[in-house]
Amino acid sequence: MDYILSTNNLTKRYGKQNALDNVSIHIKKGDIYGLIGKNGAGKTTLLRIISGLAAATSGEYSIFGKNPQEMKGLQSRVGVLVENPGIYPDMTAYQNVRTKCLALGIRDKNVPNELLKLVNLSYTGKKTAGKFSLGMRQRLGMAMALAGNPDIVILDEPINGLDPEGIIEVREMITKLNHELGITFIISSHILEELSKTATVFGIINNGVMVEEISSEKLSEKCESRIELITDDASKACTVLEEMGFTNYKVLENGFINIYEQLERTGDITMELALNGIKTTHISIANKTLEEYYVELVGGNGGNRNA
Amino acid sequence: MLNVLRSDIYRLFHRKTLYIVLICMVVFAFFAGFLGSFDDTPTDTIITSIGSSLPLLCATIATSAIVTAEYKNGYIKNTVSIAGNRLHIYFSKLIVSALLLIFAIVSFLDIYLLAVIINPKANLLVLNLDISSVFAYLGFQFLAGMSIISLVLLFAMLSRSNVVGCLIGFSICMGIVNSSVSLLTYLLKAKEIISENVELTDYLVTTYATQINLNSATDFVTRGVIVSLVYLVISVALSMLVIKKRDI
Repeated sequence: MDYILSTNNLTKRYGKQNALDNVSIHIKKGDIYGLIGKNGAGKTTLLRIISGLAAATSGEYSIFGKNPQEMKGLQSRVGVLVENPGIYPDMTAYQNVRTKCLALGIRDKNVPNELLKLVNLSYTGKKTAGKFSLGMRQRLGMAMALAGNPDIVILDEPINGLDPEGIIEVREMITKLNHELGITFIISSHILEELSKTATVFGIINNGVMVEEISSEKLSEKCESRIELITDDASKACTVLEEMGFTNYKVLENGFINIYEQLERTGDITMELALNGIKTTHISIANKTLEEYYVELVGGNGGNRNA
Repeated sequence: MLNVLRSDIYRLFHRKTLYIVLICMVVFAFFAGFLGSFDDTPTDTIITSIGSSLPLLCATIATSAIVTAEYKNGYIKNTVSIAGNRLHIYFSKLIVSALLLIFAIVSFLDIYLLAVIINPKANLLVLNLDISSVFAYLGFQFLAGMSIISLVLLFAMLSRSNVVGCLIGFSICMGIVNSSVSLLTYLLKAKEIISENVELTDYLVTTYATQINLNSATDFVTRGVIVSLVYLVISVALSMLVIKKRDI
């Protein structure tokens, strides 16, 4: 399969510490790739390497099927906002974006205005970026990352420090750009619930190791809502459930039954089981959040390499 | 690289740093010219005043401020990610610094000359300068200036601190480094570690930048050119290495 961006066993070592350990990611065109991990998991290091800001100790990566040495002339197709938006506080939003545009060889004076309009910053006029709120700075950083009509935009913790309104704005902007312009996004965040609303693919990284790459569909399947049922006789309970019309259920160890349909019928299930002489010891509706899934995957304490 | 340079120049003229440094230089240049006494001074004083280090100081501080601000604001990440070749970024900064130095020298001379003309104490009746020697002198000052600026640029990149870059620029331009090296020479001689006829200050660019004038002997000027070139080549080579190898 052709990937717009992929890494192959990327490793970054600082002294004896592995910040990244043989990380491989695979991103297709049009994906919104959510890179999940706690602080210090290696998300930023990975993004810094694929942005060309840091060198990998070993391993390789390719963007548009080309390795970094062959990327000449293609750099403008990758927009980057890593760590903090690199903006000059004594320059206006227009001037900041224009500087980036000039570096990309874009001389059209209207382009910065169009980019600012895209991120809802066209009203700032002569106000210098130093007087902007955190959310406005973040949006300015995004406008700069979007200069040059990139095909891929790398955003490192884009919602960090934003108020709820700012978070919604950024989320809507990413979704809009992805749907309307087909821009592929790579977004890192430790605010998992927020990422779960935007990303189409997730890369879960822990202590520098890529634990899992999973599509949002598969993740939904894994996290999907279910009725958790425990009875004193699982096999009899299954017969009753089938008589009631339930087909999508799974019998787990220790007599646990997970039912993935007709979630509103918990009352009926209890009644029917009782009528058939089956004792219900537990029944509830469970729905795993991305956060729960992540914790389950990497361990309760976020995983500890030394443990 | 032209795109990065165009972007750097645009930024240079849209930031306050340049104007603050230039205003300071203009004020100092004016007062130096207006309050100076030129009764018995030959006319080449005006030209050799460039060796007073003031334009150089302004250019180095501006350079240091511009480069370190880029690291501090994180702006360099925007450029590095698109520039492809990191050396383009360095050479763009070096070219901007060269333009800044030329701008500083020219504006200093203009303001200084203007101030001297309106200075009632100045005697400027004879202006019989040899133009070719003036250009040779300014050329040397530019070379010496660039070697100091490239050194400051290197330290600014290494430290990523505006304070360190400016302090080094200030120490070099205001003769603090020269004084320290003179003291070191004296101590080394006293301990008989180096011989009496060795002068460590002969290996400093600032020695030549401040002492060379329109009437300096050729071998002294040649030494100055060689020392400046050595400083320039070493600091440029090290800076290239730093920007190429180090993570941003």
